[in-house]
Amino acid sequence: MDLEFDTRNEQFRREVSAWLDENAPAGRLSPPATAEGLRQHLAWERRLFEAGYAAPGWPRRFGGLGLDLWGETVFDEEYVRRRLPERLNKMALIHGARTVLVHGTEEQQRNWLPGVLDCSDIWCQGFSEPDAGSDLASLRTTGRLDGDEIVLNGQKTWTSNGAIATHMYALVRTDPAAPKHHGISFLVFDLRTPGVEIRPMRQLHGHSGFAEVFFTDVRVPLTSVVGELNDGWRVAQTALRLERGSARGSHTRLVAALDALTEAAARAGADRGLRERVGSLRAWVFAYVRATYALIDTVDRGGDDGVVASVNKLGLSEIQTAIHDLWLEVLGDEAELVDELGPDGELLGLRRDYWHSRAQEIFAGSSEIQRNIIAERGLGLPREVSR
Amino acid sequence: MNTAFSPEQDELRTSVRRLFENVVPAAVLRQLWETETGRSPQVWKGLAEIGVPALLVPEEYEGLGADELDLFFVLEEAGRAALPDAILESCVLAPILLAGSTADGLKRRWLPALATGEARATVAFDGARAVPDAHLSDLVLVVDGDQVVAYERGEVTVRPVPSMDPSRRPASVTARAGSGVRVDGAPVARARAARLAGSAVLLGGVGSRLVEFAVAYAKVREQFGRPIGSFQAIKHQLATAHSRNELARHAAVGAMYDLAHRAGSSSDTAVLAHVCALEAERESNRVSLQVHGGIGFTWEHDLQIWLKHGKSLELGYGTWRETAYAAGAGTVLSGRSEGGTR
Ligand SMILES: Cc1cc2nc3c(=O)[nH]c(=O)nc-3n(C[C@H](O)[C@H](O)[C@H](O)COP(=O)(O)OP(=O)(O)OC[C@H]3O[C@@H](n4cnc5c(N)ncnc54)[C@H](O)[C@@H]3O)c2cc1C
Repeated sequence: MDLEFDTRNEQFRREVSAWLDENAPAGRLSPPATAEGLRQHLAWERRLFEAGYAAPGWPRRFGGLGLDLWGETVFDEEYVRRRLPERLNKMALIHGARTVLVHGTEEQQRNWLPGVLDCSDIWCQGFSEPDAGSDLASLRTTGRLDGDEIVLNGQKTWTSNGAIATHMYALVRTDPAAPKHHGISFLVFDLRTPGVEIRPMRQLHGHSGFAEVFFTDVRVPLTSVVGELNDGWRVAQTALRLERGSARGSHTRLVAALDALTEAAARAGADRGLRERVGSLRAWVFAYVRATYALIDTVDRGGDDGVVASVNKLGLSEIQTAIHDLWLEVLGDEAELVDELGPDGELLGLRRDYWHSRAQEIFAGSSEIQRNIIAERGLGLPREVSR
Repeated sequence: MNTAFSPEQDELRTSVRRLFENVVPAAVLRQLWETETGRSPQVWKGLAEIGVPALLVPEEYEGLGADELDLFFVLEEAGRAALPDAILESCVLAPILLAGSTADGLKRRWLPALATGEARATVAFDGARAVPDAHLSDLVLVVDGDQVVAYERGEVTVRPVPSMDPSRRPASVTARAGSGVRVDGAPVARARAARLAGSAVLLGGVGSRLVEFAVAYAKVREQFGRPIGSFQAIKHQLATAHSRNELARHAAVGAMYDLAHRAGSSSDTAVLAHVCALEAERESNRVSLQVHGGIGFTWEHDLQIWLKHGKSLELGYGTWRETAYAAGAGTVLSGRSEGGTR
């Protein structure tokens, strides 16, 4: 056992740090859903891209640095530590395009991946539907085969970045006669195709991050299918695993939240009880950081992260919500009064983070779904009757 | 970074687990309640044969010169077995205090004897009223602030005190006036960290075993025509307890690693690991009995052995209130959490 980053990674950390310190945008960018905000974000993404930092873990032939997971982790830690802008293409970088790296053909990879890296394309994830959330396999959006095209009809919802995306990776039912988990295909397609209608929705904390996406006879080429036709459920498992399993700086974000809580508690002149509660949360943050490194190590060595990823995701959600809850409590009416409205009526800073922590318990598989996975796949308990 | 234990460490785990399974299964633990010492001499003999008491003793004193991380599995298995023997005190804390001291006479006299398992030791911290295994220890190290005094068996009076766990047999220790030898230069801070981190590992062993018992029972116990493990209310409690145990275990590994390789941060991370272990075990303790229902509340069912062992460990090495306060106080005062340790 050796719980240190090796010298190569520490060297990379120094390089990244120096570059970020030199190049990071000063101050906050406007939200990407505004024209000005999108311009600012694209400019920042371009700088990252030109420096080779758009996706350090991707193969060099697609513009990455070909680093292993530790290299990526170092990059994410330094990036998140500085609270730099959320990556515009995070859905693609973390899971969508990565799934294409695993399951896509060489041609698909060559066609799609460069656009993700330089942000000339922005991807969103079209999994959820109004009647298919946790029960994702009950999705109803159909893809009817017609020659060398697939014709889409249906609706996706809660689509993060839907309003600014140019591409979607989605699950659609391509064989209505097949059993529930079969007959689904995983597609990547251009949202600027006729028949696609995007209706932006705001999120509860004011962010214009969501969209509903409607499809009416949308024709996409058969070459959009990633993996085998009707084998999309299996392909989606890769995406879902990447979504809940990848650390992507979550541990660093947790430390930052704990720092803010600690500072607030110090200012409030914490009594004994509060110090105990902060102490407990600090302990769990330490545990989560160590668990994150262990998970990275497992995946890096080609091990199975299945249930471990769920354990970590559940832990992250619980610890994060508890930190933010206590933080609000410590701040009291100060949290109520603080003026944190951004340019478009969005919440910034503390209150945004608080609500985000609440969303964390829902997206990427709710905490209940993670518990089901842990209990059934991890502990081997019998499945529920009706599934 | 490499988070895996070595093959040798895995092997040690296998040997220790086999020893405990063979020598002190639940039925034997119950029989030991009725004996005078409450201890199976075969346990200590077996541990000595495997080399456990020698691990932390330096080679020049006939030990193996290993480090705290090498004891991780030993302690975890001891927790899993609800083993009452004071392994933490005799095989970890006493060797740390003696080996790191400048008391050459004491080192020559005790370290080789501890290493072979001929002698057993215990450690009493800061006026503790319940010292583990004082009744059969040849050496009692009494820690008070940053001072340590060593007493031989004949120099102390040992009075049993009640414990939540009938196996543990703690005792109060009173030294005869004018007896004892100062252990000069003993690394007390390190021993304190090892005590918290080590007991976190013990707690983790108990907690994960408690969940395992409940999972096994939930698979076979049927109500309403199906296994209770198919009810989500049961499943989710078990998943939650399991997850906390898993995260707490990572903290405990981190703390033991720091003891072995990063002395500077070991006091802090030992506290953190202990808090996680306490919370995870407490949850596992609650869930395990709940899932067992009425049968778990009978004297005849073995679950009680682990329930009580866990509770007694929860109280015996610093309670949640003390430890969580220790984890939070300093950083709240400074306003810096240093939570991620990086
Ligand atoms: C901030 C945010 C961003 C999102 N971004 C995207 C995106 O980009 N693309 C996308 O496709 N989706 C996205 N989603 C949607 C997200 O994946 C779903 O909200 C999530 O899967 C839950 O589905 P649902 O909302 O339909 O809730 P439901 O599935 O209806 O669940 C409602 C409640 O019931 C519980 N529940 C459901 N089934 C069970 C069960 N079997 N056992 C016990 N409890 C159960 C749930 O845990 C939850 O508490 C996003 C959601 C949020 C909040």
